Amino acid sequence: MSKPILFTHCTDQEFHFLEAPNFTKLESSTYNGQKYKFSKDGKFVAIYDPLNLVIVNTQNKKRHSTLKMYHTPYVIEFSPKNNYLITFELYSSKHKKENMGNLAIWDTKSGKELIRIQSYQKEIWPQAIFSQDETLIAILNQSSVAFYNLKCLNIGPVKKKNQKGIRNFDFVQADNELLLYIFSKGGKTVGSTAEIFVYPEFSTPVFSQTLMNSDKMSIYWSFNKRCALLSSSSDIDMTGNRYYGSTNLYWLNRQNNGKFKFQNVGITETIHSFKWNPVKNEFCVIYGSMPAKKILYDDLCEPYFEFGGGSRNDQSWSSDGKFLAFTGFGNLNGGVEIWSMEHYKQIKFLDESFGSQYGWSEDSKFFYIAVVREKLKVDNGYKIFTTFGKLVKHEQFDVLVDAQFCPAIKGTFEPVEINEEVIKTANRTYRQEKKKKELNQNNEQNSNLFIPSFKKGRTTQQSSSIGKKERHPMFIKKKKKVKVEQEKKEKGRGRGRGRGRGRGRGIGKGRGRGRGRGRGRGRGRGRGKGKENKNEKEIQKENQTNNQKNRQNLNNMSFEEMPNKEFLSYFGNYKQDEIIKMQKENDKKDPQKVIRNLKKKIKEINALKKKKSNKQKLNNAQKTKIKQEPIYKYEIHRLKK
Amino acid sequence: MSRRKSKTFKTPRRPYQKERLDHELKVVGKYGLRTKREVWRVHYTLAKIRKSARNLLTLEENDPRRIFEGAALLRRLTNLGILDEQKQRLEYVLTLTIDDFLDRRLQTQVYKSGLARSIHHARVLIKQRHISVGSQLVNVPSFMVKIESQKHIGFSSKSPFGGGRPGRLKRKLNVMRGNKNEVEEED
Repeated sequence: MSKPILFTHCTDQEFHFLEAPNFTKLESSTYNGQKYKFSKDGKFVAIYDPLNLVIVNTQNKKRHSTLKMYHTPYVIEFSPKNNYLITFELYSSKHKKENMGNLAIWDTKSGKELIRIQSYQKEIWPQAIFSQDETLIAILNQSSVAFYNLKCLNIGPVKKKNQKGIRNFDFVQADNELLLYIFSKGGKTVGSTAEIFVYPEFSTPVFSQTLMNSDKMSIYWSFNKRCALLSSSSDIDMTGNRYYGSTNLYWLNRQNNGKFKFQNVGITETIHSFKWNPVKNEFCVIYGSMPAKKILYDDLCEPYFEFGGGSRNDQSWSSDGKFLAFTGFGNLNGGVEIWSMEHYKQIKFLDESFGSQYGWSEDSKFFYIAVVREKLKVDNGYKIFTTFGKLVKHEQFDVLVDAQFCPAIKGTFEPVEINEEVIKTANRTYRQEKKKKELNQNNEQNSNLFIPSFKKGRTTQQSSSIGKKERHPMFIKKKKKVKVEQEKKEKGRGRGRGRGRGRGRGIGKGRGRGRGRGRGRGRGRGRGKGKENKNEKEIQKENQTNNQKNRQNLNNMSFEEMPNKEFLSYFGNYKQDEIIKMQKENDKKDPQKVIRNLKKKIKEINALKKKKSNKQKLNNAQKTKIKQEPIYKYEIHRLKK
Repeated sequence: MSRRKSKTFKTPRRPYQKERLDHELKVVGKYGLRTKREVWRVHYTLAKIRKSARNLLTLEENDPRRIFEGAALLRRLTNLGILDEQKQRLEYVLTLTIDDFLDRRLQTQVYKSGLARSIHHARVLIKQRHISVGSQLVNVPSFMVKIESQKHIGFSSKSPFGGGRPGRLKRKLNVMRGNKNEVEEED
């Protein structure tokens, strides 16, 4: 059953639904509001209009109910089965006057307020968590965690767990048990403890650990709830290495006893982000100074795969677990790498420089990047891409408050298919890409090829034009004109022979060197100090006629079809003599015998190439043999004619 | 009954050199050491390793002794975590410094894994028998932690931080408070 995929965005006053795959606005589905929150199923949305919370059904796009609020909520949350709603408001003088509480629990169908509780803390969220059955709710106090029964809230707490100084807590269902996690900070001498209890038995913890150096410790469960990651952070770093304090990562694993095993993941550098795979028990960590390392850890907390690529900040998994996107926004250059987790290869690189929100659709067919008003006051808007990099929609606003894909239950969508071509063309090396460019004169970019921005670089065709603006001669001042002409006269333009495959311009006998050195590999461009200073016009004519025409022709031919002279011009003078000798000798002999001998040599060279691909070391003599391969191939072709 | 003895440290040649004294004092403060001897001890071990590496580098590449002993030296250093996994050549052994060795002591590892508030607190915890590597209680702050056992550093199961019974003073106080409460209730 495939449901329609929804994308929502919220400007200063309005809230819109958009539907895949075209993402056009639906007419009857705009609401007024600034804040909104999805339920965990994705069936309902709660939109906040001043003093009215509207709950909307996402399939019909019609109103389900409205709730009347007294103050603006800071946080809105649904229960797992969408029957109840929590709102948390910041404690202000209004609350004092009317003796009202902060935390409120509502019933979504009727719109009634069930209970109000007072709580002062704003920095710690979550303060109230539902159980999955919707029978219990756990609420934080200053010195205890209180459990209420949702059907009879006014009676009071059913159970309580007392502990002073609770900073973090979590309440989760694992298989058949309910687990409670508490982190409380003690004094200097005692240290701070993290504990996990099974629901009704609060006397014996299933896991407990004391740490001296942590102020906060939050827990991140895997999909099974059998493994968890604890990230402890301290406000002050006593060594003075980091200004913002130090962080540590710990790993928990539930054993057959029921108890948890504790282990330090072992990362000493700054941790940028870490996240669980939503399908497996593995997680990926980005840590270190830029370019940061991205490493995948196992079931058993051992690293087993390292991602290459550039410097990125953050990661986001698709809900399949099949795609991973690394993003480098914030204080970095930008850019998004998309990896496929079946093949462990990079599929696509998106060259985007701005973004503050990003994520996958539940389909895992679309990936969106949005720039949001909180972070940037300029360039607000969103872009939606497919997983293979095509821009589907792009829209900009003056003010964009939020943009999101509508969540959904896992397993309701069909998986995305990847072509084999995409995987073959993935991870091409720089040289292969350059060769393709030289062959395709038009330099078209295929959508399957990925060329990261730092590797796009400059081809030698472009290298001379970068940095130089083409100006109309009207705008060039006279002085410069004169200077330019004078320079041209002085330097002259010689024709030299560039090294490599360069065709330099310059007269004069350089042995492939002198001033006429080709730039890089590829088209060399020599600027020789010619001995004879010709006029500009004569030089230009010559160059136009010979070089450019030949170049255009040569680009289309393979080297086997070239006439002898052109083929020889790829080599230096010294080698040319050798080749000419060899060719003369071969003309005298039997062509067939010669061809047989040459084919033997080519077989040896192929064997050497296999060794090279197996990363075995070769002698210098073996390396020169490989270089001589094209000579033999050309001869065979020539003799066959 | 008879134990083999050998010297483990070597005093410096010149006693009063401002640079050297400052540098050693910094090291002592950074790693929470007790005496200068602990610094000279590490200097001595480094010197011995460098000597053997230098000797091996003078031999030819194919020499069986170089291959065998070089590989053994590199293996020992990587197991202790001093040498990187990607720097498996004898030339890199000659670029090691003292900080690489001092980072692998139990005292610094306890501090860096978050079990202690400061380096000095770490030394106290170790000496007061709170810390175990795996299941083995370790009392020695200069225990060189291997890479495999780095993840198993934690409070031992018998210490009050790790789930054992509370310490002597706490037990005494509990008894006193217990007596007080009983006295009050009676009244």
